[in-house]
Amino acid sequence: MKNKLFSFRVKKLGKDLAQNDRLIINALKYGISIVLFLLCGSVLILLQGQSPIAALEAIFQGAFGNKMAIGNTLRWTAPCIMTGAAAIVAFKAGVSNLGIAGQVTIGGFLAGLIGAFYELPPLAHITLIIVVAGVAGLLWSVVPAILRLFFNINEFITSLMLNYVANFLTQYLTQQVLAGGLDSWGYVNMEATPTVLSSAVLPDLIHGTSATLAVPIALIVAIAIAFLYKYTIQGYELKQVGENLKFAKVGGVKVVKQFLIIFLLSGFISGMCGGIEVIGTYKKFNTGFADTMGWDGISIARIAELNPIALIFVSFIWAALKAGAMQMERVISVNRLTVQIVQYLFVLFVSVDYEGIYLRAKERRAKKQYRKEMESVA
Amino acid sequence: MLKSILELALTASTFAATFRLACPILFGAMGGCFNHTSGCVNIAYEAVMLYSCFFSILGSYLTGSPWVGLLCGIGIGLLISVVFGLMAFVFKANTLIVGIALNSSAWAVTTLLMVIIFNVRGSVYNERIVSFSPIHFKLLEKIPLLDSIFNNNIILVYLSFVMVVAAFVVMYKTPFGLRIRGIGQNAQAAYTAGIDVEKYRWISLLLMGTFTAVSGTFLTLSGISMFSENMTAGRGFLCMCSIAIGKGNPLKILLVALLFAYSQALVLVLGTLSIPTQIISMIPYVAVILVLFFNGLKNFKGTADIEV
Amino acid sequence: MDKPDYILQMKEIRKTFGPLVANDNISLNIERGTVHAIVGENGAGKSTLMNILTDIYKADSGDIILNGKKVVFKNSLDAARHGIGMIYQEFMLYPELSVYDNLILGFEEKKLGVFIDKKACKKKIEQICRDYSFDLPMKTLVKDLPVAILQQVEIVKALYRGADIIIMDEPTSVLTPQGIQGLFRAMRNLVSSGKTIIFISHKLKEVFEIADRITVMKDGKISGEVLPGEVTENQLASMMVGRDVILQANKVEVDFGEPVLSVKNLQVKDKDGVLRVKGVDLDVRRGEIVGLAGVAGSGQQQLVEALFGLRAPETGSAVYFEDTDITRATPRQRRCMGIGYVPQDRLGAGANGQSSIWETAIMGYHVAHGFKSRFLLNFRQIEEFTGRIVDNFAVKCQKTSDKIRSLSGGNIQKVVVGREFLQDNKLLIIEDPTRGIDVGAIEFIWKKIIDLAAGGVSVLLISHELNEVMQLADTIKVVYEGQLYDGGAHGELTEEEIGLIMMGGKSDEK
Repeated sequence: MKNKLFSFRVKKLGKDLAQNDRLIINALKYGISIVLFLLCGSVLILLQGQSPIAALEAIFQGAFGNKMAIGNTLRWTAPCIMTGAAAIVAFKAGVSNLGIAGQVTIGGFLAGLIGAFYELPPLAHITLIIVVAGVAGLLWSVVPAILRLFFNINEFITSLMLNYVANFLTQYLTQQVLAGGLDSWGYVNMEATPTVLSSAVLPDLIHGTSATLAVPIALIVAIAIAFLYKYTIQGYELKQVGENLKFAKVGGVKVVKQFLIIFLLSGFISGMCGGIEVIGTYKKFNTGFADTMGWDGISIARIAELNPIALIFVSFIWAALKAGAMQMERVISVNRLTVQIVQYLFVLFVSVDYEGIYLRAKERRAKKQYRKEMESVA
Repeated sequence: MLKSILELALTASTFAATFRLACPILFGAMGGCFNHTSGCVNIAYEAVMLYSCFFSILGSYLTGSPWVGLLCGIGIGLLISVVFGLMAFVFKANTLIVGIALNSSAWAVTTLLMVIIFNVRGSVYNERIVSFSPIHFKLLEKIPLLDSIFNNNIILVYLSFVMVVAAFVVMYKTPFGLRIRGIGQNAQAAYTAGIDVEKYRWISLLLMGTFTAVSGTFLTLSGISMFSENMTAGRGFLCMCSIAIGKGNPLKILLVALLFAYSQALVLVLGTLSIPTQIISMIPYVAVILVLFFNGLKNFKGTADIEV
Repeated sequence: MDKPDYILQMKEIRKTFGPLVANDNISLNIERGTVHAIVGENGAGKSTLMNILTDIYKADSGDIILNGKKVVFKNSLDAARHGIGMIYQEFMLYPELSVYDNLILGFEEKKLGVFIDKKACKKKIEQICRDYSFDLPMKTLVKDLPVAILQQVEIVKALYRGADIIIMDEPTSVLTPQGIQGLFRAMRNLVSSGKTIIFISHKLKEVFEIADRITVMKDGKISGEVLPGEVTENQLASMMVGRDVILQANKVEVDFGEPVLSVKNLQVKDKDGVLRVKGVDLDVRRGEIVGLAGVAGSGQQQLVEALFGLRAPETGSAVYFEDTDITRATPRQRRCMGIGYVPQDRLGAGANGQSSIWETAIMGYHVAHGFKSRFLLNFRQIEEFTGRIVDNFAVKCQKTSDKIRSLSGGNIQKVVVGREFLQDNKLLIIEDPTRGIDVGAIEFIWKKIIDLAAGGVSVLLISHELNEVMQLADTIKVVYEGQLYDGGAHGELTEEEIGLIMMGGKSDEK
C-alpha cells in the first residue's frame, strides 16, 4: 500500500520535471543569461563612450552583413565545433581533457610541415594532412591516457601541462629548426612555418570568402558524434562509462578500452581541428595559434550541455560574435576584446544551476501554500 | 657542454634564483591549500594572479607605493574569489567551468584595461611604477654562500617562507585546519557536527584569493615593474599543481614548490648557454609531469586498470 | 500520581519533500532515562523525524519541547549544545583522520584562543572512556578500524559532545549477535547513568530485548505506542506493515547436480595491498543456494570482486566454472559464460542513476547476448527485454525511457535483479539482494531466487542479513577474517550458533 503511494508520488515529480519544468528551466537559463549578457555588454560599451545599439549593429553587420561576413562567421564556426566536439567526447565520459589546445597545436604543426614540404596531388594531400594531424593529436593525448590508465594519475593536470610543452616544442621547431639557418632579420616570419603548397590548401566553401570545406567537415564530425551516442553500442558503453564507471565495469564493459578510446578520439578530433585550421585558414602554422581554442571548446561544449547537435548552433553564435567583434572594432572604436569578455561572462551565467534553484523555489512555494491552508483551517 | 650545464645548475646564483622564484608559487599554494583540502576544484589561480598583476601595477602607478599596489592586488584577488564563490557556492555552478571562464576572461579584461588606461598594447612599462626594494641583512654578509643565496630579496620572498610555517600550523594545530580537513573528507559529517561548512569553504576560498593575489603582485613589483599581456603564463597552474601533488600538506607543497622554482631558475641560468630558450622553458612543465609520474609509480601493477 | 518526566516532546511535526509527506503531524514523548524504540519499515519516516530533531532538516511546522521548554534550534551545532547526539546508520566519520581527531572535530578545546588544546581534549575523552568503560585506539586512522569499534567511536563522540539524548539509527545492522549484546550492555550502562536513548530499528527481536517503550511508525504517521510486555512480535509486525507478515521463505526440495563453481585456495588482496581473503575453498552445485554469512568487512567484498573478475586474485588461487579455468577472466568473459551478478550497491554498481530504465536494464545483456548488429543498438530488442523485466518482476513504471531515479528503491532493485535473472544464467552471484527495500519486495525477490534454484540455476548468496541467509540457503558458510567456516545445511544450526562462528568462535576447529 505504502509503496504504491510512494512510487506514484515520485513518478509524478519525475513526469512534471520532464515536461513542464524542463521547459521553464531552459527558458530561465537562456533568458536570464542572454539578458545579463546584453546588459553587461551594454555597460562595457557605454564605458568606452559608444552606443550599444551601434555596437550591436556593427556586430550584426560583421557577422551576417554580406557574403564576406557570413564567410567569416562560418570560418570561425568550424574550429568551435571541432574543439567543442573534442570536449564533448571527453567530458561526457568523465575525462577532464584540458589538453585540447596542445593537441590542436601539434596537429596544426604537422599539417603545416606536410603541407609545405611534401608534394602530393590535391585531394590525397589534403586527406593525408587531415589524417596525420588527427593522428598527431591522438598521439599527444596518449601520454595522459597512459599515465591515467597505468599509473592512476589524473589527466586533469598532465593534459594541462602538455599544452605548454606542445607550445614550446612547436615554437622551438618552428624558430630554431625550420628557420634555424637564417638570422631573425633575414627571415620574414620567425613565428610561422613556410606557406603550404597550393595542393594542400582546403578549397573554399563559398568562393571569395574565408569559409572553407572545414565547415562541412566539422558538421560531419558533430553529427557523427551525435549518431555515435544515440544509436551505437559503442556510444552506449561510452555514456555508461562516463556516468557510472563501476556500473559499466560490473556490466562487462571493457572500461580500460573505452577510456583509451575516449582519450584517443578526443585527441584525434583536436588534432584534425589543428590540421583544417592550418590548411584552411592560415595556410601556414603560426606558433601559439591555438592558445585559447581549448578553453573555448570546453566552454562551448558546456553551453551546449554536452549535446553535439546543440553544439552546432552554439558554435555558430559564438563564431558570429567573434566575426562581428572585428567589424565592431573597425566601425566604432570599441575594443574587440569587449566581446570576448562578455562571451565568457555568458559562460558564467549559463553555468549557474538553474534547475536546482528552480526546484528549491518551487518547494518553498508549496510549503508556504500548505502553511497558509493550515492557518485558514485553524 | 654537459659539464657547464652541471656547473651552472649548482651555482649559488641558481639557488638564489630558486629561493626568489619559489615566492610566487609558495604564496599561491599556501593560500590555496586550504581551498584544495576543503574539497573544492578550483583552477582560477591564473585569473586571480593575472588580475592581481595588473592591479598591483595600477596601484603602484597611481600612488608610487608598492604597498598600495599589493593592497590593490589583494583587493582584486578577493573580488575574483568572491565571484568564484558566488558562482560555485550560491549558484552551484560547475567549478571547472567557472574557473575556465574566469581564466579566459582575465586575459581579455586585463588587456582591455591596459589599452584603456595606459593606451599601449603588449606591455606596460612606466617609471611611475615603483617596485618593492630589496632588504639587505648586514648579518648575512659575513657568510659568503648564504649571503649570495638569501640576502637582498624583497620582503615578500621572506614572507613566503613564513607563510609555509603559518599554513602548517593553521592546518595541523588549530580547529580551523582540522575542520577544513574534516570537511574535505566528509562534508556531511562536518555538517552534523554543527560546522558551518559553507562558511569554512568561503574562508578557505578567500584565503586562496588573497594569497594568490600576493603571488601576482610579486610577479610585477619584484624589480622589473612591468606588466605584459598574459604574463602569468601558467604560473597559477603551477601553484595548483604543487598543491595537488603535495596533497594539501604545506610541507610537502614546499618541497614540490622548491622543485618547480629550481626548474624555473634553470630557465634563467641556462639561458646564458646556447641552449634554445624554448627547450629550457619547457622544464617546469615537464617537471610537473615527471613528479606526478614518479609519484604514480607505486600505483603501477603491470596492467592498465581503472580503480572504481 | 506523579507526572512522567519527559526529557523531550515533539508536537505536530510535519515535513514534506516535494509532494512526498515524510512526517505527517507526528507527536512523540520521550521519558528521561529510558530506551525509547521507534520502529517502522524503511521509508516510514523514522530517519526524517530524527533529522528534524538534530536540525539536519527544518520541519515545515511543529514544535520541539526539551526539558519542558520550547526550543528552536539554529543549526545542528545548536541541537548538539542542547544535548542531542545522533549516531547515524552511515557513520559520520572522517576516514583519513585519527580516532582522536574524529572525536574532537567541531568541539575542540582551545588554548590561547586559537590552538587546539590537545591535553584538555585527551583528558576529557579519557574521563568518558573510564566512566562508560570504552577502550579506543586514539591514534589509529578511522579507515583502518572494524565497524564495531567505529560504532563505539560514534557513541564516545556523542558523549564527548555532551549528549543527554543519544539517537541511534539502526545501530545493529552492521554488528554480529555478540556485537549487538556488547552494544546493548553499553546502552544499559548509559541509561542507568541518566542518559536517554532513542533506538531506531526495524528488527523486532532487538526492540523487545532493549526497549522500555516502543513507538510504531507507518507511512509518515504514528500507528501506535506500546510497552514491550503488552504485545507479541506478530502484533507489532502487523502494526508496522499493516498486515500479518512474518518473513518466511518457502523452500523447495532440489536435487543438486555436479559443482558449477569451484574455488580452490582463493587469496585476494584489497586495494591497499592487505590480504583480505585467505585461502577460500568453495563449491556451488547445480541448483544449490550457497549462503555466505558474516560480519561486514570480513572479506566478503573482496571475495565477490575476485569471483566476478573485478579484482585480480593472488597467484596460487584457482576458480573453475564448469571445468573452465576462469581465475583471470574479465567480467565480460564471465557474463558471456553465463555468470550473473547482483551487486550490493544498487545505485553505485547495479544501476546508473543518471540513465533511463532501459539503459540500466540492458547493461550486461548487451554483452552476453548482443544485438543483431555488432555496432548498432537494436531498439526493438531492447524494448522487448526491458518489457520482460517489467512484466516478470512487476516493476512499477510508466515507460522504459523514464529516468531510473524516478523509481522507488524496491523497483530499482527489481530492475537490477530482473536483468540478471532473465538472462538464462547458469550461476548467479547475489549480494544483499534485499537491502533497504520494503517487506513486499523482499518476499517477492526471495521467491524469485528460490524459483531460480529450483530451475537448476546455482546461486551464491552473500548477505549481511543473517536471517536472509538462513531462510534461503541450502548450504550455509560463514566468512570470518577472510576464511570460510561451515555453517551447516539449511536449518541445521541456530542463529546463535552461526552468530558465534561469525565472531570467530570456531576459528580453532576449522
